[in-house]
Amino acid sequence: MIILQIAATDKVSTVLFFGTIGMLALTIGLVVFIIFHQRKVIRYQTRLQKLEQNQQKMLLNASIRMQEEERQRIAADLHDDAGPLLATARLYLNENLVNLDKATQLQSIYSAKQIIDDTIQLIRNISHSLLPPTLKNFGLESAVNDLFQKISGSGSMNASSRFHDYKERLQTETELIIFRVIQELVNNILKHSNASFIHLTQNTSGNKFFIRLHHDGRGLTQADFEKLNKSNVGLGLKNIQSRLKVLHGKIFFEKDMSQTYYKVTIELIKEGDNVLDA
Amino acid sequence: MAPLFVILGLLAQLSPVVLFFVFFKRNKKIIALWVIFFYALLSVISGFLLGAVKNHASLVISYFAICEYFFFAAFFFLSIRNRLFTKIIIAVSIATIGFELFLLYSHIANFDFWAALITAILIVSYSIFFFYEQLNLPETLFIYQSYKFWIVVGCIVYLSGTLFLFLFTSDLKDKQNSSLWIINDAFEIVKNIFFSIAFIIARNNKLNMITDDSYDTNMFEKSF
Repeated sequence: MIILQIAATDKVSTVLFFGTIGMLALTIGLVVFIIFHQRKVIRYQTRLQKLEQNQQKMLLNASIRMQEEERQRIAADLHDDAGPLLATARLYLNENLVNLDKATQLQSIYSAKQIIDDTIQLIRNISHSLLPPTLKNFGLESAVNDLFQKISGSGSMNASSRFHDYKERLQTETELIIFRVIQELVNNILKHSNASFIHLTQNTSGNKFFIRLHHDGRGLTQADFEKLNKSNVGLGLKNIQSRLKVLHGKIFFEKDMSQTYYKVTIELIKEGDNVLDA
Repeated sequence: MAPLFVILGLLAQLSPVVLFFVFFKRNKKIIALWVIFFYALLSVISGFLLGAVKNHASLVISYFAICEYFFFAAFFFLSIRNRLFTKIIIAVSIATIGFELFLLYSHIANFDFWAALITAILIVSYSIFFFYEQLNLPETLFIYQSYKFWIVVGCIVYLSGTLFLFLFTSDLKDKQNSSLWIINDAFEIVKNIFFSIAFIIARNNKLNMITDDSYDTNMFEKSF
């Protein structure tokens, strides 16, 4: 009996010992796994955050450079064109004018008036290029039609646009951003693609607002766009991306299935009657 | 060896209580720490009672086991953010405490065995859910920088270490004299060390937050 009791006690002790060790091992294993897994996740999240920060930094720099270039252009236009014109007009309207005969006075006044008219037109053009009044007064569809008509009118290429579902205007700020994006894309096509036609279409599908730009010149694919965006060049494209980010929009560059033309698609989410804005 | 363990055990039991008062100003607003403080205080009181009322030692241990489950469950109730799970904790705790009290007074089964098993299974389950929740939180704080982590680790190490001891020790009266009781003392010490770390960590919690110098993400949400 005593031997049986001792044997039973030994068996219980063995089970107790191994059971305790086993439970401890499981517990420690669980805790160690949790710690290391979380460290891995945090490291990955930190890396992602850094990548996003770098991308934001690049977009911000591109945006600032673009603004500075535009300011320089406006300053140059005003300094090189408007400045000399006004200076010339001033020459005609000096104090000695009262001492000259009437015919000469009239001629001087007429010349000064012509120069001032030219200056007014110049300043009007600068102002229109900053913010087209058609966009503000008549909306995106009219402004885009206007832009495309001017391109077609120049004779360099055939440009047309068609808005299928644009019964109600979007918010002014949203229209301006979309217009700037279209302007930038069209400028790129004019500068780099050697295209003979550009066609823009607008439509909506469910809660999405689409703008598609087709051209038959040398274009970009999505891979090219992403590559240029990550590099230090491609200022205009970075600007497009920053602007679309404000509207939570997307842009896709692709070559059409028929391989005859390139297509750029801008996709924006509509909430209610307006494109989602920040 | 045994007297050394007793002294160490007593010091370990007192350390969470002492540390709570040392860092009282910083920690007084953390309700979860109050729960652990009261649990530690109850442990100390139970320790003295066991020495004082040797005839009713098994009753003291049984009531302490029920209170232990209650305090641990209360801590998880305060720490877990998922509302559904906290409601489950309440429901399960009411059932568990009711069942344990029934077992204690009806004597139809070995109370130690069932109390230890149920407490261990439930608290380990709550711990696993707590860790799962922590891993899914979008925070940059390392999990071991949170005082809750140390308390949970203390709970599960203690419960897993003493589970088999309570399952295989059928006679409570002999427990105090059993040489196997040293396992319980050892894990009590480990548990109290983890609890003490939690009280210290909670004090430094704000300093340990990883700050993130990121660009203003609202930058692109302003109009051009």
